[in-house]
Amino acid sequence: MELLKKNTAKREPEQRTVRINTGEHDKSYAGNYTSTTKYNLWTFLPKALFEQYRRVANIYFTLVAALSLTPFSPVRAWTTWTPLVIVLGVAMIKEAIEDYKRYKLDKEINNRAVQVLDPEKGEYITRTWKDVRVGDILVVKKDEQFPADLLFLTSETEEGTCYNETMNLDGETNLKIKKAPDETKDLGEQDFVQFREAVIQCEGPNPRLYQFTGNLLLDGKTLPISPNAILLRGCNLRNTEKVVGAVIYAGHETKIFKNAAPAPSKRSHVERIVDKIIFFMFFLLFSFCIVGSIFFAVWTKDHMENHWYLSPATGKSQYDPDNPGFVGFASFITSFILYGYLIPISLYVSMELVKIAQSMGYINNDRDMYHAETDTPALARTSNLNEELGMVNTILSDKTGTLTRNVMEFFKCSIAGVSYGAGITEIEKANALRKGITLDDRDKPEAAKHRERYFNFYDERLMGDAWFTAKDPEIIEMFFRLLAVCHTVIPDGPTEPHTIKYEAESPDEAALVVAAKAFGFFFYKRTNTTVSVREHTARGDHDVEYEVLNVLEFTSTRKRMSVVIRDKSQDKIIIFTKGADTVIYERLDPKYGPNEAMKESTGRHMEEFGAAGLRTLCLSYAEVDREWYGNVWLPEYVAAKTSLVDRDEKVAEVSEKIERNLRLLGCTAIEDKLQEGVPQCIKQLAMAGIRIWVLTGDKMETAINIGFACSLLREDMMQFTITVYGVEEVEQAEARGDKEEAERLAHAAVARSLETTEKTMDDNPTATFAIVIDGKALSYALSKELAPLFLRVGTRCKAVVCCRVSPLQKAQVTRLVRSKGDTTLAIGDGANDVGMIQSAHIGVGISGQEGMQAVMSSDFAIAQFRFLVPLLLVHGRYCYKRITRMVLFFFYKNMLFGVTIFVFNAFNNFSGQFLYNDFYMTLFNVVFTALTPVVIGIFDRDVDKAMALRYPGLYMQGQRNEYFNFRAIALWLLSSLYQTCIIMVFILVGCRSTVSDRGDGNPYTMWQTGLLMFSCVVLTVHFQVIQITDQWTWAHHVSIWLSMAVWWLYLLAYGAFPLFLSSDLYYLFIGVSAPSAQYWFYLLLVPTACQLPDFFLRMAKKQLAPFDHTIVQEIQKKMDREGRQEVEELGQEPSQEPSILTSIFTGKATKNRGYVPPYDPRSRHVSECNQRKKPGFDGPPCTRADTVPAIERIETLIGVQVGDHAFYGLVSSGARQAGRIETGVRSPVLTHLDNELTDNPYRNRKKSNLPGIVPIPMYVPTVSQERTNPSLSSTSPQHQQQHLGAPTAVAVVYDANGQASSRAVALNGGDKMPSGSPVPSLAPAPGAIASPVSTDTLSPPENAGQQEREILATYELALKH
Amino acid sequence: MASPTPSGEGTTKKTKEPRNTRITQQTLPACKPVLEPVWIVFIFLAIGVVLVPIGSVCLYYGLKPVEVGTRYDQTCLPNNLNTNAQRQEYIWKHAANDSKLTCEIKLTITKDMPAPIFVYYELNGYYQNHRRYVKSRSDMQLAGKSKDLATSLCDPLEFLGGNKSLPINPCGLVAWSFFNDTYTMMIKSNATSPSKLLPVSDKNIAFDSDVKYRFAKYNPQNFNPEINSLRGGFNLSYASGGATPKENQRFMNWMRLSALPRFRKLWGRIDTDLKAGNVVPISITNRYNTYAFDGQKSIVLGTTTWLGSRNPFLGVAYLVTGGLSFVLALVYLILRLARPRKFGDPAALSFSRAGASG
Repeated sequence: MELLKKNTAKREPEQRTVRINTGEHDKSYAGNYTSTTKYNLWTFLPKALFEQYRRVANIYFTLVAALSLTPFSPVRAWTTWTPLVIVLGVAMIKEAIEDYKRYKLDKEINNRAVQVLDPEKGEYITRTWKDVRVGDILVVKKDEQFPADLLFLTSETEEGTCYNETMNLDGETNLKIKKAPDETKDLGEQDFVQFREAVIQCEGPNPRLYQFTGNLLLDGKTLPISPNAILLRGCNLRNTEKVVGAVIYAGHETKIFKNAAPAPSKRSHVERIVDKIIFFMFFLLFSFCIVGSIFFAVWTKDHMENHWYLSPATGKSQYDPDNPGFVGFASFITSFILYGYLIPISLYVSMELVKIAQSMGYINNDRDMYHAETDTPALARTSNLNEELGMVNTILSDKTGTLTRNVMEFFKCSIAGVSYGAGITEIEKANALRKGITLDDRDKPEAAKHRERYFNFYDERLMGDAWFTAKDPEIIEMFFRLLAVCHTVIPDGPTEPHTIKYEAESPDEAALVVAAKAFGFFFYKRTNTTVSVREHTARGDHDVEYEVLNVLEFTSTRKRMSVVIRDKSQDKIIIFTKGADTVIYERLDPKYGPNEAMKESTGRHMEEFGAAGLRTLCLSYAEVDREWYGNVWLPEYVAAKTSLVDRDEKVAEVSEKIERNLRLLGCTAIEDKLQEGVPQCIKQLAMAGIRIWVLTGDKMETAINIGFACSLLREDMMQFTITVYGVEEVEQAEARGDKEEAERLAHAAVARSLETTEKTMDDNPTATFAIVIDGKALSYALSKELAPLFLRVGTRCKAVVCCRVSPLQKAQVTRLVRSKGDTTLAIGDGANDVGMIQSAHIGVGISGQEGMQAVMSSDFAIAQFRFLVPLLLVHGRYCYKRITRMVLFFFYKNMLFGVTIFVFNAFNNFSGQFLYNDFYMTLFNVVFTALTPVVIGIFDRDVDKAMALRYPGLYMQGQRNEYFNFRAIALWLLSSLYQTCIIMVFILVGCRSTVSDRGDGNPYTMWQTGLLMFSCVVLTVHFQVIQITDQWTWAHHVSIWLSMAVWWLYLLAYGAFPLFLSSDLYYLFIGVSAPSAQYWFYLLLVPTACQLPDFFLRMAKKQLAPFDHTIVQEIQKKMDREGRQEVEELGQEPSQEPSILTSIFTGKATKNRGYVPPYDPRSRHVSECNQRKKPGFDGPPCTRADTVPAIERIETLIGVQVGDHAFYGLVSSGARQAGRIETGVRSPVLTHLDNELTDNPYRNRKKSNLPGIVPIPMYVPTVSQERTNPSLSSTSPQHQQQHLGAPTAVAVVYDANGQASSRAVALNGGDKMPSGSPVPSLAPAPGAIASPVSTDTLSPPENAGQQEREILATYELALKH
Repeated sequence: MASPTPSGEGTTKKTKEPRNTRITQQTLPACKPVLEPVWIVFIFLAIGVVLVPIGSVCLYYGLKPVEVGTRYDQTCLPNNLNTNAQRQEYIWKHAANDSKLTCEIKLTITKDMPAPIFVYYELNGYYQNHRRYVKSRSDMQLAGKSKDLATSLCDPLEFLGGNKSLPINPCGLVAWSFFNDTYTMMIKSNATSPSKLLPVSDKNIAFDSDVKYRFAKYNPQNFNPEINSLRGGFNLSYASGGATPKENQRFMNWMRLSALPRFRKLWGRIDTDLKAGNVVPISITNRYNTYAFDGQKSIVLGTTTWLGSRNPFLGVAYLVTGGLSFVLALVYLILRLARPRKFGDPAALSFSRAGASG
């Protein structure tokens, strides 16, 4: 959205006037001929070349090539031109092919046929698309595409509607309904022949897809045209036989073309560092050139004439001693070409190749990221950012559709202060399970009857006709009516309850309409002005038609939508409003009695629903005074609707006036289930050191509970809640109506709480933190003064949850986090995430869902949130490592090579002579060392995929940029320098030209030395590859051995070429070098001497301060050696269960996940215990408790027999309430147990088959309590909470025979006792840190620590017996 | 699209499921050499064990050859010439008169020198590797492929005196500056005994490939037809035995450029043994002008082994590298003892250390 705004900032014609069907065309408006090609036959060469030269490297290489044509060149010109032409040629051929494809497609599109009304002939004739002009009237038939942006005039349907599919535009597959203006909708196809006087006045062409401001001047009237009457090019007509429309924008002025801006290209960190290294290389190059040219000029001036053999008659000015300036200049050019080998020409080509292989070959083809249900593999939409995936510090995630499935089901509701709906959400289940409570949710048969898509609700008090006799049936009836009326859903298909289909813009709306249907308010027909509902009430079944007067649409700022209707039977005007609770509550009628009564209970229910992870909507209605409506409001509204400037703001303003004095009806709760595998995924990401920020539009409670459910928030985290709701001073100020004061106070409150938060963090350096912040507080936190503080605090947190944020805030937060230098990854699925996705370093879109906008603007698309794990931990890590290693290797080898050239020049007075033949200088980069870097980039693998997932902490190497920081780069380059020295010294001293390498006496000659030196360079470079290769696949073998072989094969082959081709090389290798023993001795010696110190340093580093991946390699090796047995994983999260992915990779059957295999746990523990005896391990010595280790303890809890004890039971703190925010640090023991229990689905499914399990009636349905005790609805939340939180400490001990036994095993090993549950945070900064519910619901009950102690004491006691 | 198969079943629904190949799933079988400390020490030791013996052999053979030589550019002229400028003046003046340029020096053989003994001249401060020099030649012309044609490669010496009708063959700076000192050797079994002629062969002194392929048999044209005032001395045939490039192996060796400004070139071979105590008087015709650029000229007699001439560098380098490898093995062992580390110990992972508190 942001992007679109920027585009429009460009000057656009203010207005346009379209005269329909006059036959005259305004020439200033574009025709409908379109071309998407970049080039034509004549412009191809210059333009395509220009494109290529946008890369600085290409300019450089062209410059070098051009200079090589001058007489100053040390090399033959073709040796620089050939690689350049190849590199450019390949890229340009690719461009040409792509452009030709576009040309063919354009041609096909331009020649498509369409029916156009010819005003002269007065009949419809067939024309091609390209001949369509603005003002023409067209007929488009079913399933055809609209050739231009049209004003919808009429369709064959009675209401003047049509459906269109906007797939090409925004990727959404659901059909959108469009509506012709009432004044034209009844005209027939032929009536338009006479349709001459109509004029459209509208805004100029612009890229805003969903907005249109314009009026239709018809018969002297000015009619507003809503965006709903515009048919856009690119869309298809569906379900409608034909429509007639008038062209408003054609060709390149259509919105789809205006939108075709290329996505902003992102560059990775690594690439930017590469640029820096290239700059360094340029610096080196220039200093070489300057040193060389100055020296040469001085030498030429002072000495050249003495060296008579060089200059008979001098002649050529580039060696003219009398003109040292020019000599220096010429020498500079010579050196520039000569030392150009410092800059790797093939780096960019190779990098591109490798990245394409990584994305197309690996990422797009990874079966671990393939979602079978939607048949969606992962898609790398750009290959620029592969390595960036390995450096992510912060993930910013949307919630709906990203963490959740975006499958909406009507789940609960609260009407007139009474909560209905018996379901238990997955989040409640997950939360309860964390406490060791199993919530039974087996489908009741009568409930199943009512289940359908979008509807998962059962409550006998409402179903059937039960609600007729319930309390407040009028309110319930109104509630249902609102559900049936207040929406923009379009029914489709036969009007029977079971066959009808609803086309809704959002799944939430569909869920509400389906719910209304289930409750007996069957919405079956919508016309332009009416909504028809078959109402089943106590009075019987009636088909009621409501006249829809106005629809006040939903926007993200309004957070509500309203429908104004006239109830014909009672002749009343009613407004139905549904929206976010805050928005509705603000607009309730304070004088209306029932409001007050319902406000609190409804609010509490919403809180509960939110806590259960449900999406809530508040429903309300009001009667509108007819006089006021007709005389005052409607004219204002129409004026606003037809205004050409700021239409949206004005409409919102006017809408405000009617949406007031509302009467509360209740609220609905819709469930959006968590996606599969999200908690495990988040856990792994957290272990990989990635901070996760969830940015959601949800309420705070919902967000927090989802945070818990998906393991984002954990109980051992210290949480801070920052909000401005419930700050007394602010509320007071607001109540006074002093908005500025309120803002100032709120700002101060946020500042205070942030400061307190930071201080608390400083005081607890070892704790992990989480922050929950709501949108309003966020807006202050993002202010200029507070942003740095917020960022500081936020980046110290493992998790940050931002609730109720707007799309704009999402992007702002992203930019804020980015500004710190963190690598950010934004993931989302909807249009509201586009800003965030584009702002982040890496944008990931969730594909396979309905909306595609996020995907369209993303860099990577995956089908499920959980695929982030392989995307980051596997592909990101590999790509980062591979690319950086490849780049370093490139610079290493080119530096090595380039510096040898420079050093040799020092021995010939920098005259620009080189020791190598120009053939092999040219081939060095493109042949002899071309394959190995590519293989490194594609096949290098330090640890296996499974290990990368098993040790997510390995990912932190990328975050720290361990392979590509200054140190690493400097070390590589230094090592390159060192090796150059070795080569130069060994060859130039050992093989100096006064000694002979053979029996027949001839001393070393120049090309012979060069051949030897080049052989050493090639070998050394490959030895380096051998040294850094962690795993040898066939590709490694092929590349390394083949590259080396090619060098000697080349020597053999080339030496045999005729003299005029091979010149210096003629017969050199076979005739001169190969027969010499010294040649081979040096080949063995020099690379060894070069690599020996490198090897030693690597090994010493490995010994003293090993890299993490080194250790994991060792672990892997150990596992391989021990027959793939598991080694103990100290330092991992206790007994980490293999994730689904890990189990796939390691080949373990997933169905056994969580099942503890039947082996003797003691053996494992004893080894662990023995370890402690070793020196260097400073843990406590083995104790009695160690023989019953922690692992075993867990196993006992899940029903595995241990020794002669059998021990079943459940542990729960009992103090924790499902879905409540908790603060403070929990005992690690209980957390650990909780995790174990939560993560063990086996326990729940199979429990009935295990002996001795005590069924625990833990779940007391809320509903039943409320029914039996209606007065409860007014009790405080805290009260209710305690009511729900039945004591859950169960410690029944059974022996093997299933008899209750007094013997039990210890729970207490080395673990500490909970120390009175310290709650270090929450020194209540006035109002701010403490969340709105902090005092009563957020903190654990006072006796929490007490209960934990009791439980543990029970176990201790049991053990002693 | 595709019509259903007759059976009605097995209509292959097109799926986007990625294929399960080892390459795309990144599960190529791989050899994973993880070096354990034992192996590391072993590698260091192995390198040492391989390099040191080779080094010993190389050093032995590198020290075995005998070399005798002396610098003569200063001594071979009348003693009253004190500066190089005067010396240059002198040789220019007497360029046509060899007898004025001839001197005799004596080399005393210190150790037995078995045949073949190679005769080298050594130049110092002479930049055969200067770019202008290196480029100024035509291999094709030398090989007789385009002998009549002037070749631009030889710039600045394509034509005699710049006259386009007189193309030089062999052309170019390299050929033109051909070394033209000559040596005549005698032998005396000791300092007092009478001397007799020591035959020095100019055959078998060039690379086989040069003799066979790179130099053709033709008579040079316009090649140093007169005494060159810069270089001193005469033309190709005058300086050596062979009148054509193919027959003149000294010329071939000259045309094989040297990489460094101090170089030797093979001038001839002596096919009789020399004994320790023998004295070799050499009569030198000192024509070549090294005085202009303060260069040095020497004459050297040397023997070779299969490993080449006297040069201990290779052996020493092998021994040093091999020795270093042993030392590194030791240092590594010490490091290992000082800072022991368990192989594959998960507790050593940085993230587990950091995460231990959390």
